[in-house]
Amino acid sequence: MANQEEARDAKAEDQALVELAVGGDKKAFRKLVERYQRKIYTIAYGIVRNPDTALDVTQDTFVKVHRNLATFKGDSSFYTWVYRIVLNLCIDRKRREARQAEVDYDDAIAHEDGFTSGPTLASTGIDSPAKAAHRKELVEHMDKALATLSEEHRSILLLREVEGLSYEELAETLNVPKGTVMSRLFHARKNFQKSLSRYLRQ
Amino acid sequence: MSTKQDITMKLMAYADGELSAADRAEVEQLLAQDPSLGAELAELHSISLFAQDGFEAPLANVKVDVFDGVMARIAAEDAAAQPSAWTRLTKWLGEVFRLEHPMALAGLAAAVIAIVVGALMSSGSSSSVNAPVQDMAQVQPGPRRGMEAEHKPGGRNTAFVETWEVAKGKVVVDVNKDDPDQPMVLWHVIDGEGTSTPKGL
Amino acid sequence: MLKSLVVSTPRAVASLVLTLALLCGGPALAQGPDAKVRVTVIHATKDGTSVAPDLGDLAKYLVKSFAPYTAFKTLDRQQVTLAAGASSKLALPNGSELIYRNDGRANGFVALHLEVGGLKTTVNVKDGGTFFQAGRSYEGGMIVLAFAVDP
Repeated sequence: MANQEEARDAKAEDQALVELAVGGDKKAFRKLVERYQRKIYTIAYGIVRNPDTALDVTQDTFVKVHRNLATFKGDSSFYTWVYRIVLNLCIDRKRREARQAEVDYDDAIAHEDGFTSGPTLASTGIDSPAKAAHRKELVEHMDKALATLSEEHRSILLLREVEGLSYEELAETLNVPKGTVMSRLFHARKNFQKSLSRYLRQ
Repeated sequence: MSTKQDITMKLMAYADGELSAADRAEVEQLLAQDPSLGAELAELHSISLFAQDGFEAPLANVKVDVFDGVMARIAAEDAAAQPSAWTRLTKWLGEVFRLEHPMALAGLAAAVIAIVVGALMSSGSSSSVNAPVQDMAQVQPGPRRGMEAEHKPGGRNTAFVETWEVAKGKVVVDVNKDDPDQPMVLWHVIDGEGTSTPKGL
Repeated sequence: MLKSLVVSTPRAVASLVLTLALLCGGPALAQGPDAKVRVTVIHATKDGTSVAPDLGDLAKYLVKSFAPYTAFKTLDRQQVTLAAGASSKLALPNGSELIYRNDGRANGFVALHLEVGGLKTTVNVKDGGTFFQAGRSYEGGMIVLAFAVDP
């Protein structure tokens, strides 16, 4: 309940700042940038996997937000609108670059297996990755495992696990039906689990 | 009857807090009946933990501050979209004087101004505008073993120092003559701060 | 009087020639090209051997250029597009401030003017080039500033 109330307050604050920024209030726009720049950078880096490109995309995102602020109607939340912008910019950027070999599964293929049919992350004995004994190597393995995912799978995993978007918000941001959200999320988690398990067992 | 995948998807939605009260109760009943589903739930939780950490860990010490860069970019784009001062001037002259060739009049006016300004400037002081401020020390690095100051790029080196001034300390320019692919390093070291230079100062 | 001014003031003649040249290329009076500058603030220490993964291509240069330092971590980044004459600022963790300015472009090089910690310098950087400024101490190590100009 408290979370829903916080979310409503945040949405109202965003809307107020947007209205001020549209009116030319530079401080209001600065507040919006400072509120979301880290989230946008995290998303951009999660997809493009390069810090300079991520910074570039982050700036591009806010330039685009500034230019199109007057068109934001408030029917969706501000952050899902901004997330859509950064995702599209990342996809455009990746399209211009050569694709690396990626492990992927067609989301339409049914997976009869659950998450415990093969090697599991729970069986590695690492309860908390943040406190793992060989932290540096673990971070490298997780990084490599994420890099093997397609942009679509990396995006949905990022928006869900880091930004905490609900299925409905994911559907709105990614412009797909809720059923596709669930299926894509399932496959993204499955692929990540398989990749990371492989690296951890090397 | 639910397929295994139906159950797995429902369990995933349950772990994500996305189920209605009725569906939640159904899943909890399934969990009570089948202990293996508990292992599925635990694995989903692990995957979430690792994924979240995997995305966030590389950025733990990264500071993101893009506002100034964003505003500079907007200003640059806006400036590029504006017609140049020259275009605006010639257009105005054309409109005011109904000229067919406003550029010619604008050029003549600019030439007259330039002659006058040039005459005024040449009658003034000839001191360089780039002369260093009196209280700043110009430090000329002498050649050191393995390190030399140069004022032009060596080989594939992509940078060179044109001018420098320091209030205190020493400045040495390392152009990495033995490896021109290495970027130039402009050292500014103050005695007593304890920083180490690789080849010695 | 005009004739004597022209004969005795070479600068005036040069100004006239320049103005005539500019007439032929009116748009040349517009501002010079922008420079896209990336600044990375790095902490170099001798504590262990590690290079932060987000340093990317800089890593190999850092390790070679700044031995005996063995650990490199990103403290801050800034990326700006500077019009000719425009400047940007960045507060550094050691309490000083970096100011840098695009002083124009010529022959494929951007003249970048820097002021940091009492040092004032102009460095000509090739499009796509990188250079470092280093030497000031910070928390048991040293601050390294990496500058890159994107083409």
